[in-house]
Amino acid sequence: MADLKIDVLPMQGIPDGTIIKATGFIDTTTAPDIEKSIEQVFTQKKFKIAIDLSGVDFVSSAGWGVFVSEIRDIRENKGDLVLINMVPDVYDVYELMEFSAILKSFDSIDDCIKYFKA
Amino acid sequence: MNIKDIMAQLTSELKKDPLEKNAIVNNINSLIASYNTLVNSVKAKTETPFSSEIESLKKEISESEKKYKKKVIDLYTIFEIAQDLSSSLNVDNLINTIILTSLGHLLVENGSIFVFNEKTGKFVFKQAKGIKTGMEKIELDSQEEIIKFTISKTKPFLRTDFLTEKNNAQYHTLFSNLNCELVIPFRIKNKVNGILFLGPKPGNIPFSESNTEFLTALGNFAAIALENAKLYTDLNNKVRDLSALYNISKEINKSDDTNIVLDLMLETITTGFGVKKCSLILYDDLKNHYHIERSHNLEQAEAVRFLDMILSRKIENALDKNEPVFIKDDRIMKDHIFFSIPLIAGSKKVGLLNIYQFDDDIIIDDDIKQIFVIIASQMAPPIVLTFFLSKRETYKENPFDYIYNDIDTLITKSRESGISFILCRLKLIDKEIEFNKVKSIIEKIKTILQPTDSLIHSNFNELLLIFSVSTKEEVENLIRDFIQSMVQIEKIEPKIACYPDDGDNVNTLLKQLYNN
Repeated sequence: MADLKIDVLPMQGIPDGTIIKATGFIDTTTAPDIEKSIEQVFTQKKFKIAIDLSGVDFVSSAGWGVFVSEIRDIRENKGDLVLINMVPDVYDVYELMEFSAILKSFDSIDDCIKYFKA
Repeated sequence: MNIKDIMAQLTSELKKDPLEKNAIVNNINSLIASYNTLVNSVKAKTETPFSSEIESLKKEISESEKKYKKKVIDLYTIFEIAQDLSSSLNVDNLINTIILTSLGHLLVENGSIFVFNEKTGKFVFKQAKGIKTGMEKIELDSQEEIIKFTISKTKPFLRTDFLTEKNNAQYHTLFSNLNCELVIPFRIKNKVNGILFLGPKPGNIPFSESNTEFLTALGNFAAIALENAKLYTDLNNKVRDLSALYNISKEINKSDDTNIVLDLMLETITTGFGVKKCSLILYDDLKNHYHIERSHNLEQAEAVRFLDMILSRKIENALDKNEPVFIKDDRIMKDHIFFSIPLIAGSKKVGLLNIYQFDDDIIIDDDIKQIFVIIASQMAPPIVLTFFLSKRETYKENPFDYIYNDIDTLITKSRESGISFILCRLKLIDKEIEFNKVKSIIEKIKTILQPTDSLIHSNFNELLLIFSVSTKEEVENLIRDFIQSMVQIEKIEPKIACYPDDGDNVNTLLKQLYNN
């Protein structure tokens, strides 16, 4: 499996928001890297987090596990973790495994920003 | 009639003279009725008796497709995790992988893992996700009901399954703190080496049979991976200990200086092996007593008290048989142990390595005791060697210092009592003189001495004897016979000096003994 590249970017118009843009594969090897990025964002008290998956071709169960395990803490701090720009293969799994019951998804950053502003 | 015919007729009716409008309207109505009859007959043909069955089949196929796709994802996840668990030997990484995969695959918000510690016999908390911390101090003994229940199960079980049987407030609290809904044993052969406590699914949706099958497989892979990691860690520890022993041996055999060697030994065991309080005790075989040569973190009074313990017969008997003694009794020594390891070189009693306290994170088990027995076996020979080498050097530089006072004391006593004595020096000459040879000479000579005679000094080069009641001739005969019996050494040169005949002071006597 290829490595994972992670970029942490500010969310325009949302001062306590962050976009974590991932590129590559999120599997058992690279999932801890995403986890670490999310935890680093916590230390900056930013709890409105969007994971941009436009560059991610595959997310394994461990990757989904990272998102699911952080959600409670984030929501307790009045924030949320959302997924944006999923590619079709990733979205199919998201739908099939019914992750929408816990995690929201959006097709664009703008939609995500609208959600956080609301 | 078909629709085309109806439309053609309609058009023709509309072209007719409007004065015949009643006839036209009647005809149009008749055409509309024909049209409706036609439409109804077409509808009736498309709504077949099987359309609802077809819809139902389509739905079933769609559901099955979804189920099979999920199954494929299950299998892929199992394959991925099996691959990952079998390629990692780091316990923390393994546990992280297991928890994240479980949470992600089953859409569960929290999970925690306890792992079995063979040394303590308890399941200790290792890692959790999605719940607050504070679990670190939780330990579950093997004899606890929850553990016995888990070990009896080959598959995951619900919290309610356990609580129905053992409705105990303590366990309600445990499950509540862990926010646990499902318990998954990590089973390998007939034992359980880990437990995953998994939280509920969203909306408290029950775990399906497929979920349970997935978690059973996950638990089995996890057990194998943990076992492999444990074996790898044990092996690494053994290699580390052996390397440390090798390094100790290498370091302490580098130096000829007794003080440096003793300091190195103490530093190695205190910094490298977790010893907090100890002492190095040497045995003086001429005077038949122990003295404290080095201590670490001991008050003077403590050191003396511990030394007194050695003199108890039970302990001394064990030490004489080269058996380590281990006592842990808070009534005797609170918060301390008494772990005494004999230092023996060949058959020579060199001393004792006594350990009274280890660092808090050291578990004192048979492994650690065995390591120190091996360390002690490495320590004794260099102590003996450097001690003899230093005596040899000292005597070369100033051969008189060591024995000067002893002879001076003898002369004083002889003057007071009016009794003479004879000093005999045996110079040992052998290209391959070594400890065992000297030892055998000393042992042999002790057998020919009277109770009033004594060996007052020995080293690799010489022995110095005192004869108090024998005459010079008797001493010469005795020594000649002795030398003749000593075939294992190349040459022994005797020198005799009699007090007061050959001199009445130390210098004169020594000159007589050391003149070539």
